[in-house]
Amino acid sequence: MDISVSNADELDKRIRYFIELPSANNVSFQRLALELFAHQYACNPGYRLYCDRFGQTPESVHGWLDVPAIPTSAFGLTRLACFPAEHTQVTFLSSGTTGAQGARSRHELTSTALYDASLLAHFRACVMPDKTSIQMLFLAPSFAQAPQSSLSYMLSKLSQTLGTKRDAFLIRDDKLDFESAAGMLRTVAEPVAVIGTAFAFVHFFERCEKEGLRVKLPRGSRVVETGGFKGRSREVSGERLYRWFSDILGIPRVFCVSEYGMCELGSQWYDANLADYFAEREARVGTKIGPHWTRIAVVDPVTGKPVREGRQGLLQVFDLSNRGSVAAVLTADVARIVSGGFELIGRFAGAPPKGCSIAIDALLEHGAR
Amino acid sequence: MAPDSMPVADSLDLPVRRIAECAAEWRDPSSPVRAQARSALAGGRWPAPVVERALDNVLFDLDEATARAMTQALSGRPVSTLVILPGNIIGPAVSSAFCAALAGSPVILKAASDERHLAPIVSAQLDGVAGAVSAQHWRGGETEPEAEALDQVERVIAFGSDETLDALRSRIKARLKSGIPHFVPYGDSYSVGYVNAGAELNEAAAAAARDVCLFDQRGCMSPQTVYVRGDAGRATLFARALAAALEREGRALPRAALEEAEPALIASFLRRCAVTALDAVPHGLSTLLTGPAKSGVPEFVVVVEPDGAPRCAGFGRVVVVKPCADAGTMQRHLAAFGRPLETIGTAGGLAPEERSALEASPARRHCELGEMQRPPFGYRPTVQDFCEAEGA
Repeated sequence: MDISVSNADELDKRIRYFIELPSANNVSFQRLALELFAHQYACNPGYRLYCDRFGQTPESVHGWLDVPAIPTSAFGLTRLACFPAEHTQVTFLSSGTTGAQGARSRHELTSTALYDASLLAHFRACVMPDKTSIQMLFLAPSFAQAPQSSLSYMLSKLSQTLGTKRDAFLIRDDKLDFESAAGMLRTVAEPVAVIGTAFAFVHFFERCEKEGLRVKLPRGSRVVETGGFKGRSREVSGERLYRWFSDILGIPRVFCVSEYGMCELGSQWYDANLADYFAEREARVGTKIGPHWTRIAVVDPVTGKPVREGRQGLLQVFDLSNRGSVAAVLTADVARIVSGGFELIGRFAGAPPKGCSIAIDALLEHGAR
Repeated sequence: MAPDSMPVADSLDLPVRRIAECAAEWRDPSSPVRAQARSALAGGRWPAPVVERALDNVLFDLDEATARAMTQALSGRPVSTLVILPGNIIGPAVSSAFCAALAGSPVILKAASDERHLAPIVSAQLDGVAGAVSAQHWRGGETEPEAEALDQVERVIAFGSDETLDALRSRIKARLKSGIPHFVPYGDSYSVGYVNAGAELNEAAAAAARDVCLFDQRGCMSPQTVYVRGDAGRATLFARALAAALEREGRALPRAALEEAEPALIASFLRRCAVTALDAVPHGLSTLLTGPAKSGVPEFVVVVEPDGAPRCAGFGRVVVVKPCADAGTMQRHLAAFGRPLETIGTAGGLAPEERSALEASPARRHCELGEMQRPPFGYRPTVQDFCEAEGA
């Protein structure tokens, strides 16, 4: 296929248009994906080097699945951007390091236009298919409080665009404002969206149990849990967390959605159950679905080739909204393809062979927000 | 009781000569003990040539004169000891038993599941020769046999990961009457190579390949990163020589069968190397070299990266090569890295200032490249580890 190297602004416009389409077919996705790869190969020196090492160029690649997927950890090892550093407007950093040799991932953007279009469109589809706005309570810091966090950016953007004046960020200066949270939850009269990291929810619910707080949020209220535990010490099972949503907030399972995203990617994936519920389909609990400007594959961790449907492997993503960095990303998350989406199994936890030599680099695959 | 000033060897009238004769049997490939060891280890994780090389190395320098000198240098009384052996390499069971024998210390060798053959062999060999060497095995996590063993000893010498040793330390804290000072841990560490300006690159590469291939870099004495004095071009030339040497050495010392997670980890590391490898321009030589595929992943990986902190794979015959200005620069990187540094293997004569720079590094041992996997007898554990320290 003859793919010319598109101008960045022109490509941004076309991707933006593609995102705003209600849906898109594979042919147009494929064409745009190959154009994007040609652009990134030409303009992103770190990525080009990576592709060259595997002998992959725009001439040799014929589909999005052939585009070399860079590991998420690479965002912490080298600069991956299609523009000079002085054009960077926003930099998202992952939440922390994972070892002595680990570096925080950096995702640089010249503009948030594509990022915004992507996050808003898919959030609407998966979390607010029935509403144009909703009061949002965030168990997370605002972007002003965490100016390098992609999650905080996303939540602030959601609040500005789809929220209300009564929205609140309930983590300030790294502390959960339990009293404010409890007060708001006791008094809300309209449906509310409670959005936060799994870790923050655990803290909140443990305090609720201690204080004996239980509420029944108005019908139509919902929960979005994001971020997982990222190896934090107070990990609890997903089952327990969802029981808390029901027991303490009075939110039924079908109105609870888990988000999957990372600082290296412009798009997010959400559990399908809420969208299914409002579309009057059978609710797919635990199945994550992505927007039409992304594709996913589950690949063998050794060969990088897709595994058979239903088998576990590493999740690989192609995200058109990552125009300014790298669209094809290999995550360190284990998943399997299920009906129309994927099921997240957990982190790639390859225990190194037993030995007394320090073996840490291999464990540094990360994609933390 | 012998006076404190009297050397332990004299006071206990140890049969040093007989111990040295037993050591010589381990060096002799045609001896019955070697045949027994060879047979016991056959079909295990390590290919036969690796087993032979490891057995050649284990007591290579323990002759009678060395043994006598070591016993005469000991201080303090011998203490009954439990040695928790590692399973990742071959040899610590034998060296530990001989250290205990020379110290006159009654010892229990607790073998690892992955290498449980040599402990009973060396125990039987030394039976009636020196002290009491008993071999035991229990699975990790079985606390009852461990508690029984702890009740019989005054000291514990343990090999393993830091995590394992921390767990063990907490378990024995309450049991050892003499407390933690009698816990001697040998935990995680790493080693590096240094190729000096005067080194002939092919010779240095052949030596480094020997150190890499024995035990597939699972031991703490394998070079994980090799610093090459000079510019990126010289480092790349060394990397090419090393790749060729690894291919040759790999025929003599084949890689062990991969563990379940190993292919995925090597593939993951290789992807990272594709990001971190130096750009090949302008010299045009590849800076990421891989061996022939075996079990789905390359038999070895050599990557040239920019000067900086060491990188450790810890398995898989993955070697990182870095150019560096001089030994002082390397020493600063190693000091900043902060993890326990085991050995620096060097190639090429060292000027006095280079030697001082290396000696200022936090390495426990310095040796020539090619000798990294062959520490002298009594290095780890030491014979003194089996005696009560002076003043204790």
